[in-house]
Amino acid sequence: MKRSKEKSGCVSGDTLVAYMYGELAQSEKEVFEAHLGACQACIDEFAEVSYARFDVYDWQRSEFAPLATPVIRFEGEVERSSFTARLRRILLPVPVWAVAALVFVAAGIAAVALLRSTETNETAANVRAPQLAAATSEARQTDAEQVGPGKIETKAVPGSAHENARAAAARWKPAPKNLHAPQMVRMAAAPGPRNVSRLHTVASQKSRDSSLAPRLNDFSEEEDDGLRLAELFDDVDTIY
Amino acid sequence: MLANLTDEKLVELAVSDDPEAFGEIVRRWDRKIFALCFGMLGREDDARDAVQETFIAAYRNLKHFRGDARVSSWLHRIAVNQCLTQKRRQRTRAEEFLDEETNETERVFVAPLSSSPASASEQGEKFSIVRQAVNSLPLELREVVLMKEFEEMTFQEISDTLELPLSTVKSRLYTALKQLRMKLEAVPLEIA
Repeated sequence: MKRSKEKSGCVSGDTLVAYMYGELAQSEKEVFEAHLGACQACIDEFAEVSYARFDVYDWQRSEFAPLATPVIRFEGEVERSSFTARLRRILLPVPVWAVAALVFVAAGIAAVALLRSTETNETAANVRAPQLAAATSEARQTDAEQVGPGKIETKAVPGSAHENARAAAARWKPAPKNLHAPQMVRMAAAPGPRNVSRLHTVASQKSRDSSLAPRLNDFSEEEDDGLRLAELFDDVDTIY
Repeated sequence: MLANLTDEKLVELAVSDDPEAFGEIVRRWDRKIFALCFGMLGREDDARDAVQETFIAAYRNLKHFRGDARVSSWLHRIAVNQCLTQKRRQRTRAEEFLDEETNETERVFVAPLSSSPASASEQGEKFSIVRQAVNSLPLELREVVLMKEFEEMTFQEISDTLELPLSTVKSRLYTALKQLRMKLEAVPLEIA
C-alpha cells in the first residue's frame, strides 16, 4: 500500500528530489537524513521516486550516452542581412524593373530641372548684357554723333548718353547671392563696415582721377580680379 | 516455482534455510535497491557497495523480519540505513580516498548482480518502454526530466532557462517522476 508523503506530513517533494540530485544544502541534508532514518513513509516514497529516476538514468546512460555527437556543417552561403537584402525585402512586391524605371525617371527629372535652372540664369545674364550693350551702343552712337565719325573719344562727355549709361551701371544694384550668376560677372556684396574704410580710400584715390569709372565691385584692386562692368565700357570706348 | 510466490512467502522459506528463496528475493529487488542506493549516494560504485551490504544485512536479519510490514519497506529501510552509514563513513574518511576514484569508473554502469545473458534484448525492450513513458509525460514535466537527466543541468540552471521559480522546477520533476513510476509499474520491467 502506498503512502503519500503529503498525507504523512513529511518532507516535501522539492526537498526529496533536491536531496536525490545532491543539490540540498548541508544543513538541510542532515535534517532530511535524520528524518529518513525514522520515517518509513518517507523511505518508501524516496524509494519509489528513485526507481523512476534510475530507469530514466539507465536509459540515458545505455542508449544516449554512447551515441556519437553529431557534427553540424553549414553548406552554402550564410544569408546576411545586408542593406540590399533589406531593401529587396521592402520592395519585394514591386518588380525590379519598375524600381529601376522609377529611379531612371527621377534622375531624368532632376537632370532636366538642373539644366533648366542653369539656362534660366544664363538667360537672365544674357538679358542684362544685351540691355547694357544696347545702352552702350546707343551711347556710342550718340557720342559718335557728337564727336564725329572716325574720332575716338575716351573721355566721358557730361550729359551724354555714355555718361548716362555709366551712371545707370553705377546705380545698378548687385544681385542676391543665391543667384546662379555666370562667373564672368561678380556680384558685389553690400559693403560692410570693414570695407567701408577701404572704399573710402579707394574712392578718395579714384576721385583724384576723374577718368576712373564708378565700380560695381567694392573689393580692392588687389583682391578683385573679376571683370568689371565699367572696364567693359572703357574697352568699348577704345575699340570703337 | 519460487517466481510465483510472494515476497513474504519467500522470506518465510528463506528463514527456513532455503537458500534459493533468498536468491529469488535478491533477484527481484537488487535493481530497485540499487536505484534507491544510487539516489541516496549519487555514485554507482558507492551504490553497488551499498546494495551488497544491504542484502548481506537482510540475510543476517531474516529472522527479525516481522510480517506486519512489506518486504519492500523492510529492504528499503535496510538500504537507507546502509547508505546513511556509508555517508557517515565517507565524511570521516580522508580526502585521499576520494581522489583515487576517477570519473571513468563513476560513469561506467555495471549490470545488476543478477544479470542474465538474455538481458540485452530485454533491456532494449525496457528502454523502449521507458522512452514511451517519458514521451507520454506532459511537455512541462518532460522537459524538466530531460534537462535534468540528459543535459545534467542543475535546478538553478533549469529555473533560469525556463524562467520558472526554483520550487516550481523541483515540484515538476517530483511530479514527473511520480507519474513515470505509475506508468512503469504498470508494465513488468523486471526479468522473470
